[in-house]
Amino acid sequence: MDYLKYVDSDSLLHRLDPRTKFAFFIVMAVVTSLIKSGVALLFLFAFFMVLWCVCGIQKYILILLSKLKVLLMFIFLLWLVLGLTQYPVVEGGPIFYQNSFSFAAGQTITLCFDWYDLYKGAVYALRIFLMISSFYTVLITTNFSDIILGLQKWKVPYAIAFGIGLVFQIIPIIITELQAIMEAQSSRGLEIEQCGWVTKVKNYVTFSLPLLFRVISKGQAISLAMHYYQLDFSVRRTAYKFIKASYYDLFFIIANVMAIVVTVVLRIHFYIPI
Amino acid sequence: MDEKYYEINICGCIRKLPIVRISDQLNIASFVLLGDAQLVIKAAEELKERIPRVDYLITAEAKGIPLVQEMARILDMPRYFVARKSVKPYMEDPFITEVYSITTQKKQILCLDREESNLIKGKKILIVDDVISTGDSLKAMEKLVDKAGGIVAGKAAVLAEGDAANRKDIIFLEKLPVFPVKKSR
Amino acid sequence: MEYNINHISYKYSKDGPLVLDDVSFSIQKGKVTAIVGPSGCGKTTLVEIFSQIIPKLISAGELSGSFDVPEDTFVSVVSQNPENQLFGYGVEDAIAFGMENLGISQQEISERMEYVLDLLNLQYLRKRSVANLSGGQRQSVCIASVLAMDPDVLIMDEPVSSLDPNGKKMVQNILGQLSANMNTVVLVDNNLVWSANIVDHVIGLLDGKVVFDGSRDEFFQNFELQEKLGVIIPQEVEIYRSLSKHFPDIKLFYTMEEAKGQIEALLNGRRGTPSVAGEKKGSAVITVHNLEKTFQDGFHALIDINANIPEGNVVAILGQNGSGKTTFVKHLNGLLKPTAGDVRYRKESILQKTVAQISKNIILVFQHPEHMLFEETVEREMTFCARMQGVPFTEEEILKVLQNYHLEEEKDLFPLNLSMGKKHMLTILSVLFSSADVIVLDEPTLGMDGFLIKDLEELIISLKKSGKTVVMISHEIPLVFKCVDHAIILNRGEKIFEGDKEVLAGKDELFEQININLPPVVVLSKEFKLEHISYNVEDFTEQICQLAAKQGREV
Repeated sequence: MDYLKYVDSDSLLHRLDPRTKFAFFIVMAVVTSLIKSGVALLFLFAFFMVLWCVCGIQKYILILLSKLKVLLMFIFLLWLVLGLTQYPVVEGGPIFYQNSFSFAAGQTITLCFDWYDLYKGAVYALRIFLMISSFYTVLITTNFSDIILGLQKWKVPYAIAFGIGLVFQIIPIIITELQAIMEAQSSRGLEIEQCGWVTKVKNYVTFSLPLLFRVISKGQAISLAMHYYQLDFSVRRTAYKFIKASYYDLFFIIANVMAIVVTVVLRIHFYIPI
Repeated sequence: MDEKYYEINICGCIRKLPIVRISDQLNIASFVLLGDAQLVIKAAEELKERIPRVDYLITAEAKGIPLVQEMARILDMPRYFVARKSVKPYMEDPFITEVYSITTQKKQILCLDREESNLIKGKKILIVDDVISTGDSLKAMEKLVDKAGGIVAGKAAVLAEGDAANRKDIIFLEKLPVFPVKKSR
Repeated sequence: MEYNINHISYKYSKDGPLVLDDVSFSIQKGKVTAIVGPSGCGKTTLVEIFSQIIPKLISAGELSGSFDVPEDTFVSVVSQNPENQLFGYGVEDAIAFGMENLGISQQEISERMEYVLDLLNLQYLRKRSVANLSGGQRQSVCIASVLAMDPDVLIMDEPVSSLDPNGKKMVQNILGQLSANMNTVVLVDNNLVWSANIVDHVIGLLDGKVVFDGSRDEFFQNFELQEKLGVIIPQEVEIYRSLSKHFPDIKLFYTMEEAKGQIEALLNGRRGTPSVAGEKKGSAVITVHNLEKTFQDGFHALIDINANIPEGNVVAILGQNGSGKTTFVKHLNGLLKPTAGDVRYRKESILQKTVAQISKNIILVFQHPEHMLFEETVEREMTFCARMQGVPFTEEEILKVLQNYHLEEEKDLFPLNLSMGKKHMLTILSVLFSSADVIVLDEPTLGMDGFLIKDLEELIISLKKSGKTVVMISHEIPLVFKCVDHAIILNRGEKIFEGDKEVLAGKDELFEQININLPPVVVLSKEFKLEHISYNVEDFTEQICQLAAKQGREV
């Protein structure tokens, strides 16, 4: 369950200005939602892979992939099934199965399983994966202190920036708490392993109560601590750390711009309408 | 990691077994039951729970002797047998079988006296040993019992070493791994 | 200079009981003041008033009296759980957080940062992330972050209660630094074991009233009061207390060195003749065979562990945090499955069973009671295990246990509203009605005051008497030596010792290796070569008396 966490390291991505990374995520989200060319997306995927490997976070991306595999499979199959009723938009290419079924009412439905169905499913799955993984890349290489700093630089009010940072700080805590509660209750004889799904759901309800209390008490402790540290959103804060863009950012931006240009060129040359 | 010892927990007795080289490819953990009174008592108690009903116990000299003695004592058996590794002057008509043992790396013989073989005849016999490894000496013991006309009702040991641990036909308390020699760099 | 507390009374609601009743005392500037008292005495409320949480955040109550401080006096607090108090990913971020809130210029922040890091010897942590710190380091950073804001009064609320011996030593050093640096510190803690040497002044609170106000030495000489307040005192002081009944001339001591000197004077060079302890061995109820645990990230938490839990014994698992203790006990009840090896309960492997099935034989009580409690009443919580496992129980039995362990009055209360120590007691008591005969306790003394620890001691002894086996992880070394029979010591995932307490007491080098101190009675027993090693103060006093008496006859 510890896959949503920041990964401590000192790679290129870690050294970037958080604003560069936010921009990276936003641009990639736009690019992947606009571009539907398989070749272009494959190139982008390759670019991402290089980025991950250079930064040594490929291991975490693999973990992400294993968590997403069901979702990606589903998207792939969904578009594949939807595509069965259509002939390929582009001529040529193999068709694996083709048949028409006629119903009593005289209607006919044509099923056509072809290369285009596979292509479409793959493209959609890849787009979703690229979108999620670009967000994930930013998430695991930016700690919440940097997130707060970056957002503040973008003139986001400190109260909001702090709140967002706090969420990222608290999510792992809640996950650990839930695990501890499950372990504690099963240690006291509550069966959570060998039971039907009805019991499983019931168990989660059972866990939610102590979890709620834990979260409330954590919240209280945090608000007390905010008081101890004299946090007052109406007072102008100073900052100890400055973030500023460096050559790394320049390099990163150049690499990204080039990658996006190549992607767009590929998109123009190898576009198959979807 | 420097693996000079293999630690093992046998029914609550933790023992450090020295790892010794027996061939170019193989190291084994050397287990000596002789002299370990505490372990003999614990192991006998434990084995008693697991073995079938038999008339006599038999072992080969020498390392299984204390165990078989203790088992016979707690099973209330007045007599047990020890197969000897050489023909002794007192044996008038000995039964002999051959064994190759990985621990001693020699061809050996096993023999019993006629008086003993007469007692074994037609009886249910449990073969007891300290460690079963290749199974060769066990096979020799079975042969010996067969020859004497006894029925092998079970085979029990404290440890099963290497592949013997996967055998279903033997009763043992713990598995003992063997340690193939790693190629040194 | 001092800060005066004048006739403070407080109620949380208009018609509620008085939590604080006419409290007056003063906090001396530049000194360390300890506020002691049992849980529920009003310590926490007092902290809330000092730090202005009352009335700024909690305003429903009724407050009278005043806390006389000059304008702009800044009081800050270090709480029990540093994980709730550190804002920021890195150590520097966390330390800067408070200063940034005050609007201090960046240059001054840097200067103060250097100052606190130097003062508390924490420079080596500054580039680390908070998440990767040990408990003691985290608490130290927390103290640094508060100190960096330059508070006039620094309040520490039970700062070491959740730390292991290494962490305690670290915070102890920091408190010593603060004291030497003339910072005004208020320590709110009922455990004076770690701070006895540093505290200057003691305030005793009982039922919202000040019952003691005086110097540390006066406090330590007032045995009756210590008892009444349930203060946990250093065993050295306990030894003094017990010895002074027999030897009125003896002077108060807090440290090992002083104790050695005083007892040396009593004995006048006389030594006993130690007898050799033999190893006794029960049959093992749990056997652990070549247990290995490697976590997903490649961390070797347990390395080839063979161990036995002798039946009917109390077994301690010792070691610093991170040595694998909790990982080890989680294998005993199946919460974790080993990478290799086996765990057997009465010769039968537990690896194929679910945690709930194992809990019928082996039950684990967690470190944090909040994770376990979830019934509406204390009484129902008590019977949770019994109901889950279908073990019959009667109303009378429940009532009797509640009576024995002083929870009778709270019978119908909501468990989460109990004090931390009582919550913990309740989770431990709830396993009494399960069918398990092996009970594993992870840090059972957490949050307990002196009274509850005594109850716990009795509970462990009664469990043992009824034939159950108790396995316990604890950093309360004196308690461990009082009630255990057998110990297993882990260090960096490896077992470095297993054996009876009598043997363990002789292994000074082991304790040095794991950086844990043997209890004073054991050290002194060995120092003076007493006939046998004492594990509690009463026995120790008796032996010293005998030895001194012998000497008297010879002279």
